[in-house]
Amino acid sequence: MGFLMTTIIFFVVGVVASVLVRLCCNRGPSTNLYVIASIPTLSWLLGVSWAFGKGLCSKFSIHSFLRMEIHGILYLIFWFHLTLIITATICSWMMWAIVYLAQLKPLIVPILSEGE
Amino acid sequence: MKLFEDLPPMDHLRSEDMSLVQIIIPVESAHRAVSYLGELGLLQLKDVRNPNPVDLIVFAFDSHRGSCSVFWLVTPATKMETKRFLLNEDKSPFQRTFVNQVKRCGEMSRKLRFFGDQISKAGITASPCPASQQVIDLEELEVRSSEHEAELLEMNANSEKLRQTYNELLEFKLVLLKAGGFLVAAQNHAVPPETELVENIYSKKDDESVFLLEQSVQPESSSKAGLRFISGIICKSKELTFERMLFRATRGNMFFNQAPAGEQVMDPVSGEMVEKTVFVVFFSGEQAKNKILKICQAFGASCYPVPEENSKQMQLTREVSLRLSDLEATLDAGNRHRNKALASIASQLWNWIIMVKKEKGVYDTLNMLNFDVTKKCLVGEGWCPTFAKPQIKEALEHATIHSNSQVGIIFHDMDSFESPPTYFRTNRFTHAFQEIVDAYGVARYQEANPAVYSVITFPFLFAVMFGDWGHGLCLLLGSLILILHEKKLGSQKLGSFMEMAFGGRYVVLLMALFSIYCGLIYNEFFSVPFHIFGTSAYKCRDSSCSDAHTTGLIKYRDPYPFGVDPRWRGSRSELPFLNSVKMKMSILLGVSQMNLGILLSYFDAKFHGSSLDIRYQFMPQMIFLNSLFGYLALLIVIKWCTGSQADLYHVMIYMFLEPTGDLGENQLFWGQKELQILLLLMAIVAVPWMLFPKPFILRKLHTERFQGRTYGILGTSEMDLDHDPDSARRQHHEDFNFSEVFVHQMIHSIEFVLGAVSNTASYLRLWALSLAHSELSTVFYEKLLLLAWGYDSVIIRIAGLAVFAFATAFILLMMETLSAFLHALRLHWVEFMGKFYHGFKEVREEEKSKLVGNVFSSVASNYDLMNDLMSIGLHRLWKDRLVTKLCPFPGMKHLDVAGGTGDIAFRVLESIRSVSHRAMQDGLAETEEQTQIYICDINPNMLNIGKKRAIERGFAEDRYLHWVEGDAEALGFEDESMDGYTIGFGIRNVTHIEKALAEAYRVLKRGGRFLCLELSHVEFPVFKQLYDYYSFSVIPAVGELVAGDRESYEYLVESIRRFPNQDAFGRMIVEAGFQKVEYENLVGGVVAIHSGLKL
Repeated sequence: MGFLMTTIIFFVVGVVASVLVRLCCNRGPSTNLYVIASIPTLSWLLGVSWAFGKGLCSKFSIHSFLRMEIHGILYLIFWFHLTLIITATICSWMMWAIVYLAQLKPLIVPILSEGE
Repeated sequence: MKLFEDLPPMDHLRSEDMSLVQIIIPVESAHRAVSYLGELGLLQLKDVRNPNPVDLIVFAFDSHRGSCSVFWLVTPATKMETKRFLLNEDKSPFQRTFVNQVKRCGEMSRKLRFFGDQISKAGITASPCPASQQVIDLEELEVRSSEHEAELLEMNANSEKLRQTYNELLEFKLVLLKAGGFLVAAQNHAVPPETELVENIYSKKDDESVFLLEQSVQPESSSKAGLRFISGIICKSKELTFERMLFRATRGNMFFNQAPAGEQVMDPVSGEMVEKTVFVVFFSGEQAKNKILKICQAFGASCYPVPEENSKQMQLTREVSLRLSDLEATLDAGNRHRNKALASIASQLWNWIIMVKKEKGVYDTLNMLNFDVTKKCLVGEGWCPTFAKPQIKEALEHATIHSNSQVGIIFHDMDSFESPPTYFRTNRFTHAFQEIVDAYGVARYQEANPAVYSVITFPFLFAVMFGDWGHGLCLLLGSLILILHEKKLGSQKLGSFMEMAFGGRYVVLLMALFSIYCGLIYNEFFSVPFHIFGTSAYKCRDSSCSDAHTTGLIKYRDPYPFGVDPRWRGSRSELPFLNSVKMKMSILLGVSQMNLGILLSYFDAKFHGSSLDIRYQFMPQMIFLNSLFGYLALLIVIKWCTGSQADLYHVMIYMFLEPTGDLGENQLFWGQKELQILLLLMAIVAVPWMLFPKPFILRKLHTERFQGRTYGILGTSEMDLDHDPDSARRQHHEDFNFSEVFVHQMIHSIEFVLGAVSNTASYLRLWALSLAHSELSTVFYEKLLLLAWGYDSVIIRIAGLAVFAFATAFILLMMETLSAFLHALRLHWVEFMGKFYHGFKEVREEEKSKLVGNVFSSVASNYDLMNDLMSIGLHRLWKDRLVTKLCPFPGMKHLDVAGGTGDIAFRVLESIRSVSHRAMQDGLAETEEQTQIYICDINPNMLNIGKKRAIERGFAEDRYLHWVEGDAEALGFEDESMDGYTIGFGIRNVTHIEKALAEAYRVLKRGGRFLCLELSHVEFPVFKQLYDYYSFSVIPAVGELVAGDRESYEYLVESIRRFPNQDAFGRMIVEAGFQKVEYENLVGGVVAIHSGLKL
């Protein structure tokens, strides 16, 4: 498993945790669907179809769609539970990445001690 | 970036929006309204009688814990205001309206406390049953509690009398049995003719006690020789000195016989059960009798008459036994009755206490309201979170309806110029984290709250230091127990340690989870690596594996997928590798966290609309930090990715020393030299950038405003964001002091520039602590568990396992947790929060003790606490030992140097008193009067602590104690004036030890004793390492948290190291002229007592 692969795993785990926390700690039905729809990986399809639907009945522009989307993500990030998940994911990933990178091209190798 | 313009509010980042409100309550519904508001706990009333804004109060009832906490939200208060407030304080209570009610509540809570004491003494545990309680009002409770109190007091007095009689009878019975036993046994022996006996007695001079005994117990002969006896009972502990005293007082003309009483008797003074001894003293003469009786009195021995005749004895014994059993029955009945009464109280007590507390809180709050002119309404002002207004309104409506008031309560908003108080809505999870932040300083109104990130980063940084998934699992278990029993634990009173652990249960939970994660990354389970994520990426170079011990293994595939390769464990290159990784990791994590801190300062400035702070503070700070340490972080990552052998420290140092020089083999990427020059220039430019523009622009804005040209700028709040901690400035922009602002900016900039270096270095503690943890657990595993497992004996194995478990639990799980916790705390408080968080630091000191958990506030002073914490309470034993060695005697002149707190002096005095108490002779009592104890200390503060303590201990009136301020190297006492000289934990701090010793020699009389108690050097190999670890990492950290003074405690540890070892110091004492110099090591040399005599 390479660096990129594990990084993606971390990312996915973070997203899944976010969704779970979103579903478990529901803040109310009014914002729920919209916010879930804004989670990047899940959102794309939902978001596009929603924006498309919206675009059918009113004037649609890529700009307003992107703005809505990014705004949704930011809104999501600023929700406390998700701040926690995101911070935790970043910390964990950093820790792993540092140790992984340090062993990528090591300058020294294990030299067994006499006992072994 | 328009996108950032209208960001949604971030949860928990800002404190709640507050509004100033006024409530006008009709008198009839006031009490109910205030108690409903109290249950809600969302309104902070201002004391209207007192115009200063400091005395804001919210009270909230917590019926689970039965406490009515009156907590203070913090608002800016200048020192002057606080002073004024204090001046008013002594007057106001008498002018208050509801003083009597408050007094009544105080009286009632005293009674309830009395019940509580009685109940706990009686050992009754009646759980409160809230369902069955009947509702009573305060008046009824008052009546009832007085009744109960009177009843209890009477019952107590009666049973006390009975108990005393019972005790006396019991003692009498014991004396009768035992003393009668002596007499009877002696009578049976008495066979030989009397004349010979008499000769024997006189020729052998009392030594032959058996004969004397036989002689004395024979009724006829004893009366002839004038021999009589007194029998009685005395505490076992006093018996030896009692006998010696008797012997001295009668000049040996007595015979003492004793036997243990066999059962425990209650001591009349202390009320405890003690071992006693029955004694019979035989003597002759009236004078001796008086003396003996007096001595008995002095020693608290009770004398009982025992008839000499056997039959009378028997009769008396029977009578006594009969009365005893009668009394016992009466006592039992009384006790049952009393316990019944207490149990009935106990079932209600909890509710009553809560009720009285609430009532008192309500009246206290009502006192803060003001009567309006018609005297029919109470008027109050206060702050409440804006979201809570409907709730408050609802509560007030309920109050109106329930109290059948005709007039509703008026509740409306007011305008305010003051800065509102800070209020965060926390739940049980975030509460502990918010407290960690609040302990540093409570946020200003709507300041960015670091707790949002600390919830994760705090446990994470802890885990970086504590990474071991075995230990993490233990912590997890502990925290889960606390969380699962949350309801049960939350409703009972806990010890201080448990209280702290319980309060931080969610912090511990997250710490445990991250420790498990970091443990997996470090690949350590009680320091043992596991191949969880596949096999190692290293293998031997060839099949024979011959050079694995010399040149090492070879990496044959991608690095180990998750965490540290298990191959490193136990290899010779393990330490260099882990050190390098962890050191670089610390810097990377540190730079990231500091960047986050500065970024938050951006959002803060943005929120408050201060573009000045963004342009002239945030931007140069960001550039400065990242052009130096951000670049270092970049170099680290590049070095890892390319596998270059460049020396990063060399690169960093020569970036400053010789920016244009050739990098040579240290070149990591193309264009590095140019980039370095650019970064260096940017860093250099950033310093004046953060220093100069801001104060000048502020001045320009101010002059413009003052001249009344540009009113438009008035709207911005840039002026007072950073410089005006007090709200008074908001209204008085006129007193703009340029030099003050400039100096402040200068300090801020210099602090940042120097801080950037020292804070980055400070993150290296992550590496150091993590290394210490892993090394320590390796030592325990290899040197304890594996060693013990090597033996074939089950006992050794079990013993090894037990020691390993003990060491792991106490040193790694408790000490290490504490130490890593404190270091994580420091990294957050200083390195992270220092970048953006202001808070109210003025209140920090007082608030701290409240917020960190009231754990330490109960102790009189930090000094005591630190001593106890550092020595685990042993210092008391050491000082006792010192005084034992001194052998104090009445009439002695003693000098205790560096003993400002009086610890040793009090012990000496107590020891002298007990000696003179023992020696009740007239002469000694007089000599006791001549006792003089001088306490000499260079630090007047310490002397003050000592004087205070002398008062607490009841030595205040003592004329023996003299407090003298003086230097150990130049004592202000005459030559040869002292009988004893002690110095406890002081000689280490003396600049010239020889001079101090010479002075000691000078002031001592011939025959005088010199004693020195001092922290010394540990010789034991394993113990030495543990002790070193303890003193270098735990003590300074604890010092920082408890006494708020790390440096002093670091100095302390350093000074212990510099102090000469036991032998060397002994030689110094000899050189000063003392003889018979010796020392005694305590706790393996942690402290040593040196003693010497001046002959």
